[in-house]
Amino acid sequence: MTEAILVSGILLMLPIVWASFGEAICEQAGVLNIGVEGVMLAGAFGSAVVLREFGGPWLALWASIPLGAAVGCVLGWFYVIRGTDQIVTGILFNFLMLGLTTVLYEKYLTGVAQSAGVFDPVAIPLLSDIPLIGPALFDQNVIVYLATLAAPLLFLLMRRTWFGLHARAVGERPEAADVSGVGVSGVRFAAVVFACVLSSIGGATLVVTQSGQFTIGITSGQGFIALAVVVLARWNPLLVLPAAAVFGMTQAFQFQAQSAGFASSVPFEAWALLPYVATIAVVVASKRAQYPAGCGIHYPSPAGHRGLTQQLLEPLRRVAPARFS
Amino acid sequence: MRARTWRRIPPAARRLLAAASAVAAMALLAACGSDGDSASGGTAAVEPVTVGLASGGSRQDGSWTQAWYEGSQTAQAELGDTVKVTFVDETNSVDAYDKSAASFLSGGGDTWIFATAEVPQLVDKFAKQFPDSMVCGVEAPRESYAANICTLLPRFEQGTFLAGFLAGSMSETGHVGVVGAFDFPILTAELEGFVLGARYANPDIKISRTYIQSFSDPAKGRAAALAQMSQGADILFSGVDQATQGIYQAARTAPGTYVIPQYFDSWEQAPDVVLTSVIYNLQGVSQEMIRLAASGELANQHYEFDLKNDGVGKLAPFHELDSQVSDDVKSRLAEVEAQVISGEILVPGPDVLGTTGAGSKLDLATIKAE
Repeated sequence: MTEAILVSGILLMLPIVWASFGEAICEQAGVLNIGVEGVMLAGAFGSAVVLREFGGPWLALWASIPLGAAVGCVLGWFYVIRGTDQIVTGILFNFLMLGLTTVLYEKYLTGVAQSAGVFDPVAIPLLSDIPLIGPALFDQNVIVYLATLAAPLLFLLMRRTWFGLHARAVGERPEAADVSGVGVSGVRFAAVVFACVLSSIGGATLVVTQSGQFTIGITSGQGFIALAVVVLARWNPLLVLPAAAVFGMTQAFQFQAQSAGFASSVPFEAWALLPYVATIAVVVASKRAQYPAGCGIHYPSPAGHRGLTQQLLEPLRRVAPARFS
Repeated sequence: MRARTWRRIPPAARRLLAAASAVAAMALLAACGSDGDSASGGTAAVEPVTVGLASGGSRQDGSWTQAWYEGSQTAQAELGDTVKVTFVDETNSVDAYDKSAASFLSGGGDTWIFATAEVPQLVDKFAKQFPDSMVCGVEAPRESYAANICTLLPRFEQGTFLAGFLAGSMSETGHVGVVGAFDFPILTAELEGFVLGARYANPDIKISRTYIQSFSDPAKGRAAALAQMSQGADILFSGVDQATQGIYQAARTAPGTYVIPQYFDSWEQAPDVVLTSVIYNLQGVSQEMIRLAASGELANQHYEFDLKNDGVGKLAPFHELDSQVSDDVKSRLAEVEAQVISGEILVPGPDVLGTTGAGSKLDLATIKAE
């Protein structure tokens, strides 16, 4: 029973983990992306289309990466270049994606297909034999392992590379970063695109690990849970894993509690509320979190200081100097 | 004097006023015109009876809504020009039901059927608002009926009782599970009918119940199914729609676990785990309601559809899993089905089974007719 809670808890937290990875990076760079739910929906829809048309969960997962980047460019254009209000834009973007995916789904994706093509669990020899945590942690689908790998890599990215340094600088003090020669808009735009790729993978995860199909509103608010998880994790990709587990594990626990019928005097609606209540409670109880100082505030690049195009190319130039200088 | 007043109005407002009066005049003409039309229509070609239906989910959902849709299309084809059927799907909220009904009825529609048990309040609301139209909904029989309200109810519990009997007879762990979306009487009665059937096959059977608060979230369906399986359930009944996809995925992780979905023969979606499906002949129900409306026979009363007369609640073939069901179980199932049809076994309706836990508490002796 405990084992079942762990196994399905990890499955339930997985999309939130990816979405939170993205959101943590985005917010550290100073962009509050409320639209993460919409990005997840787009990723889920895109991967469901690929899964249905071409088959194979790997292809479906890969497809969510360019799709996430494209969505990120749109959002980046709004947030960073146009400088629209980030909260309003994010909320509207969520509605837009819900409407768009619903319409496209009804037009092209309905009809019942054989549900198949999700990632099967891959057991890691020896480790999966550990009682209790073995099956939960080491006999899971490949995206679980990818997430475990991604957490330290993203941590290093934010702490040990020029990109992470610049991102945190423009997130905390954009004017200071600007004066010291960092192209604020360029770094922020790159962070939004990268964040949307990660969140889009989170959406695709729903399809390629859970259902093998898209359903209307499949993300069911998980993007918003990710916003809370990021605060709880203090914008640290490593802490995202335990923070998301609070939600995933209580969700898995409540299903177990409901069907086991113990404490049957508790109405099942109360059980269903538990994961949300627990997440809010943990956020409230934890020490007051300090958002990055520049988070949510648009920083207009001073005119004539450096061309916007040059700024946007800056991150690319650093990655591949030969091609972009 | 009047001309002078007219000139005193600024030119922009003048144009607006002129336009408004032109529109009013046109509307008046149109109203007269339509009066004339309907008068002549009585003598010449008969206006088709308009029937509208609304249901949440997609018309290709391989479930409830598709069944209603197909029935409505058959009825349209059969009745030809005498009826004009409008089918609205994806009404996934109370608001969406409200709007679709309002637009149909305010356009002069004759009969509106809420093909759902979720919005009984809207049946009353629209019946009051449009006294010349008939408004129907899926619900248990009422005590009294306004002149333009009808209710209909397929006896789902009879079908889920049979499915429960099958599950109770086949479960190797002596434990079955039911997964539902929300706790409302019609849906709960389906789940509790299954529980009652499982107990009828095996009085000591253990039951797991979970409501996942969604018809369409496969992740929740999967988590709920995994939880029930970890407690020992090996046959799961699905009272959800697209969330069933998650239940199939969960069942696949433990060979020997089977799922029984409903509304539509769903074996093609997951041939390896769908043991059977409970099918309610909703196509037939939909078709019959439209036929009644078209012929003007639809009255302010309750319409019931059951296993005996309408084939509501039959079990689909076992398809690829046929070899897993022993001949003994098959013959006992056939026997129980005959008893439900003949009335020897009386499966109670949503009035009794509509509350969670009712299927576990009910005395098995009371369902056997004397």
